[in-house]
Amino acid sequence: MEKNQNLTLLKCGISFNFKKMKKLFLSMVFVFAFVTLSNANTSTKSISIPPPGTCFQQAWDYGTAMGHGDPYWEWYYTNQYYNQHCENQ
Amino acid sequence: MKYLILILTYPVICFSQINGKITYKKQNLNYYTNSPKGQKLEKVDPYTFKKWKEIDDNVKLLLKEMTFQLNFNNNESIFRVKEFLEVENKQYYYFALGPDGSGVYYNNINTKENLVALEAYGQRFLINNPQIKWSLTKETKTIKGFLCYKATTIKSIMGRKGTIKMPIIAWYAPKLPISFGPLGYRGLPGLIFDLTIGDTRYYVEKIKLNPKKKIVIKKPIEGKLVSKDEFEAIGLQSIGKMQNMLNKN
Repeated sequence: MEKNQNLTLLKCGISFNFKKMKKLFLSMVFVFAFVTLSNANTSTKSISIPPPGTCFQQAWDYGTAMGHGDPYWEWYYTNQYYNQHCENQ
Repeated sequence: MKYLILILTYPVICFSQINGKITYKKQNLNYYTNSPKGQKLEKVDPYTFKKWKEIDDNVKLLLKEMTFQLNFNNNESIFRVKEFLEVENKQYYYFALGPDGSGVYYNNINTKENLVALEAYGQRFLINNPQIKWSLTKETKTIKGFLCYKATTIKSIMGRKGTIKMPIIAWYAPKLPISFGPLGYRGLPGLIFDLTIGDTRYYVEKIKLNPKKKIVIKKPIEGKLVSKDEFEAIGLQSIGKMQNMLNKN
């Protein structure tokens, strides 16, 4: 019986046991599923996706928040943020 | 009688010759990322919050090292940042300096000039600020062994959403009859030891009176001479242009 399940594929003598193969495939599926799920879990914690809008928009938002309504302050902080974070993009 | 007059006028003579160097430190009283607005931002947009927090943290570190100097003689004063060699977080230097700290402030009692030299909107300006109207109070506190009195004023700025009124608190020491202070603030009957404008504070760290080396004050001359109102109008125009650019994108 065991001999029947062994299939000699190549004449050079490499043989496969289908029962063992089934176990191997199943374990691979479990490992793959576990890794995918754990990765999905950590990706929600890390901040790698930038928010929508251009970098200029982000600089503007920063300038507006730090400027307290003073046009010079708003310009200054927008300019500094842009030079720091957007110029090389 | 001659000696009596000399004795009585001696302190006046001494103080009339007064000149010196005052070192100030800057402190941010509130950081955006620590404020309720910042906490809200952390929940809504953690990516932006992380970037802004990084700026705030570096500003805190840089301000520990940063000092400003007020040089003065009988009639003139100049206030500016004292240059220092920062290495690692150089890119955050201008965030720490801030728009107020990046100017050079010059005062002249005789000519009544109150100038600020700064770079803005791609050009250099010399802004002639008006006189400050102070409200003097009887509230006192001791700073560096000097009895200081509290004075207040309001700074009005024309902004995109109308006039902004920023409260200013100054603590001055009448014992040092020098009518100067940080950021060009002057006109009080004593040196300003502590000045708070909104969330920013400048306070005295060191006082050096009548140093051996003569203090030379150079009036800033480079830049387009404008009044405070003209500068604010240019600012509103420039900010308007930036907003239009943003809307087009």
